[in-house]
Amino acid sequence: MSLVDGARYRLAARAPVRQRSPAATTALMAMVVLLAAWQLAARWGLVKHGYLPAPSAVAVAGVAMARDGELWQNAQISLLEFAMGLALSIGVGIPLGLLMGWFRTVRELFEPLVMVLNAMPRIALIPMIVVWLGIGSISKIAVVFIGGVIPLIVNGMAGVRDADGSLVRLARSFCASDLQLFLKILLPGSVPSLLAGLRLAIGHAVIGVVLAEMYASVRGMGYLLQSYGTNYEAAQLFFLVIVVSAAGYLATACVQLVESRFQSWRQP
Amino acid sequence: MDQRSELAEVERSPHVELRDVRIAYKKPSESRYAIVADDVGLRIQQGEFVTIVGPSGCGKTSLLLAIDGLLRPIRGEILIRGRPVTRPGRDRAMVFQEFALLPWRTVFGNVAFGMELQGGRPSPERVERYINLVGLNGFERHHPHQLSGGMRQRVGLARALAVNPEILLMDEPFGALDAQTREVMAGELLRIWQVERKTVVFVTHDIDEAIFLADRVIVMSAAPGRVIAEIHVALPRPRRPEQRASPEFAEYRSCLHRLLFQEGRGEADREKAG
Ligand SMILES: Nc1ncnc2c1ncn2[C@@H]1O[C@H](COP(=O)(O)OP(=O)(O)OP(=O)(O)O)[C@@H](O)[C@H]1O
Ligand SMILES: [Mg+2]
Repeated sequence: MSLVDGARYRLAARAPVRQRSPAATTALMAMVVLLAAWQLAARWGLVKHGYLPAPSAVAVAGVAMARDGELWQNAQISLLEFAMGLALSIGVGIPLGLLMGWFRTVRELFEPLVMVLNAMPRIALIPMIVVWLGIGSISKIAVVFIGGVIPLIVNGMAGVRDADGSLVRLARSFCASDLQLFLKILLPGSVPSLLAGLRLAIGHAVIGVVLAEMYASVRGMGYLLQSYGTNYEAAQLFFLVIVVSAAGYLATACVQLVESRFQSWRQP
Repeated sequence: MDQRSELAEVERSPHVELRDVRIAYKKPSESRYAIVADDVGLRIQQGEFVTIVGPSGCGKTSLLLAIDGLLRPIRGEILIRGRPVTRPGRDRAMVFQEFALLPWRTVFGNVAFGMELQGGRPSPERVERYINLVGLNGFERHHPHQLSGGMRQRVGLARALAVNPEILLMDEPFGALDAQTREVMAGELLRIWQVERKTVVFVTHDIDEAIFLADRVIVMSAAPGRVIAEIHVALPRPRRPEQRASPEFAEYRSCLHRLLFQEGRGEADREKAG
């Protein structure tokens, strides 16, 4: 009986995915049409070559950049800065956010700073950070960190503060200690909020690393973008934009995948 | 003689005692308290099965929360074996009206939850026993969102029973069950109660259920809830489903009907007058 039920639920869970696949086909077709139109427009000279390179030209430029190692060398640097900055913001943001949700004093201590940082365009801090930390990797990591840490703090705090009151009461009823309450109710209850925060953090981190490298750097994807831009090399530029976007999308999609798994137990 | 003094001792100190309890909530907008239950006095003996009936909103849930130690009365006191209640204790377990299941845990994990909080890792056999008891075997790996309302309710029931409390506080624990399951669970609960001699405080909206289970039915008035009647149910135990059709049962039923109906009408009159 349970087996039958299990199968039914699995089917039900899969149904939306199946429904999505025609939409994916449509999107794919739209993309193919767009690429073809773009290619033809460039080939017929409807747009000036310098403004809009043909997809084929972008592909050729991309292959060349990948061949001579330029792409991978710089991507490696950006990836490393991105990963370290993000790891740091996770290591600081999640515990700090949870603590701010849990202890009023911690919240009162940090909330003004977090709110100011949250409200301001954090990109505006890049020049200051470069002044402080130089143009090496450290300043990039710092920019990524500041971008990523804020949404994690805000969502960690919200996750704890919006905990289901009836579950808190339940735990208290069974004589839960404060630590048990935190580990067994507040922390697991915050997971969806934290994952949403992580998704935002990744978005901010990608923007952060590229912009910081564009502003002051001699290496990395942002630097490449900057230098091809100043040389009006549109094909390379386009290729880099696509690579960076794809990387950001991929990272976000990974989190979304995890999120959808956790979504399943959320009650409608 | 020895026996008699022991008996007297038991009578003197009830298991659970409420003295002039007043429960109130502070309204968020105002500084005043809104009284939801007042002048509640109850003496519940060790091993007694007490059911509480009363109109919706009369403070039944609030009273149970107060006995559990989750809510402090603003007046009067609640004593358990003569000691004032200040916080939840291991001697009490509550079955919540709104189930209160952890959505990220399976049925198994939810049933184990109370035991886990009260004494480390529970043995799987023990958890399994209570899952079987409420008839959820085969659903151990399901999450709450995959269960029907009645199944969720039974998870909450198993969770409370599993910590083996002396006092069971049950807030409409069968409210979401169909009639048959309801009767089966009622029989099961009585069996457990009889074997383990628990003290049970059981809130219900079902008059028949209140009579069938109880040694004593407490009838409460509309908000602010007061105890307007206590009815001792003298039907012989162990109770059997056939008793529901007996003339004595019908008498209790009509008596409770009258009390609740009069109460309802009184409330309506008062509203008209106001
Ligand atoms: N946390 C709360 N804050 C403020 N008011 C509350 C709160 N909980 C309950 N109340 C109020 O107290 C009154 C009694 O609520 P309670 O849940 O105890 O009633 P009840 O008798 O259990 O009702 P029902 O039979 O519908 O479950 C209601 O008027 C309700 O609005
Ligand atoms: Mg209630």
